[in-house]
Amino acid sequence: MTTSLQYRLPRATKIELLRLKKRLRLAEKLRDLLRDKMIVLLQELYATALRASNLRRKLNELLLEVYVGFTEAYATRGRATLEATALGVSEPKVKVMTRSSMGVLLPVVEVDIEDGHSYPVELHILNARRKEVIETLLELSESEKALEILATEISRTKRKVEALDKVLIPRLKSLIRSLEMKFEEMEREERVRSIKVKRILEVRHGGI
Amino acid sequence: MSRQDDIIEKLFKSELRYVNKHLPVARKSLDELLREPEPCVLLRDGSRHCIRKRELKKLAELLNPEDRKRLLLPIIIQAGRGDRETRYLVENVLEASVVEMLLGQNLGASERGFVVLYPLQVAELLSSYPTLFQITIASSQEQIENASLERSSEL
Repeated sequence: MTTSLQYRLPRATKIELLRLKKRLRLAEKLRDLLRDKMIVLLQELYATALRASNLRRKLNELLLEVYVGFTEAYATRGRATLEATALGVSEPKVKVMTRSSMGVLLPVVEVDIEDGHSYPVELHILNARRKEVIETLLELSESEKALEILATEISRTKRKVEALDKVLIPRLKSLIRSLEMKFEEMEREERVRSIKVKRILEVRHGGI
Repeated sequence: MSRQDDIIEKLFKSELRYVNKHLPVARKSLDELLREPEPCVLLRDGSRHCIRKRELKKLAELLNPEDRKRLLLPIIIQAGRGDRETRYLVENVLEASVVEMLLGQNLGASERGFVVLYPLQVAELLSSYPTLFQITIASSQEQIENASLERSSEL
């Protein structure tokens, strides 16, 4: 049965053999390089996962504090005061930039919260916590997006390594082996032929 | 070889060409980056690597004004295969001592002029200061092997 994955045996010449060996060396070099790249990306993934986990823990703790603070402020100041104060709160300025890790572009989020207002004591603490919550939340989103991008890139690199390791390199090796076997066979044939010719000549000379 | 194999090979050759294209065209000093509104460096593939201001400020606190002018960012960490696992090398003395300061460990940077890092140390650095560093695959594996051998013999 013929499939598209089947390949033709190249012409049995020494030049073809040399070319195949060169291709094999290149493929092996590339496989090692891609493996190294994958290791570095995995390292980055591990570091990002560590960071994301720390940030999530920090965010949960902060939110707990903020909820308690908000309930207290609501109880002491009342809804109207809180709403009036909220109107004066400035919106954070968010800048999204990029950083590169092994050619993979990952997001870098910078947040700038300017707030020159003065608030009553409870609200001042609450406002400080709000800034922290926004910063942590944005950093967490940055880390989780980076995790997603890194995981995609790692799986792509892994596919390439597997393609080299399980398809291209074994195919080249088997082609080289079959060519070498063909050359050995040709050599044997040649030797047998020369022996036979030698014998025939000996018989002829002996007969004369 | 079939035509399909030729295409695969061409793809892989281009991969080989672009493997270290994420390195900066020219690195900038810490002092220079601190003055920029958006501290970024241009990379060889045309993209930009931006460094978080908070990380720059943290680094500036650790260094004296002279070193702030000399330290070039991002710090390049070279990855290569050691005897059993991947090892990471920081070559420049100043950069190596900065790594020591950030990790809070004495790795012998001032005596040897470089530091060899284990994967866990790199993970620690990258998780705390993700934008300050860039990892590259070492062109010469020999140097990494020699450095890691030197370190393991000391331990």
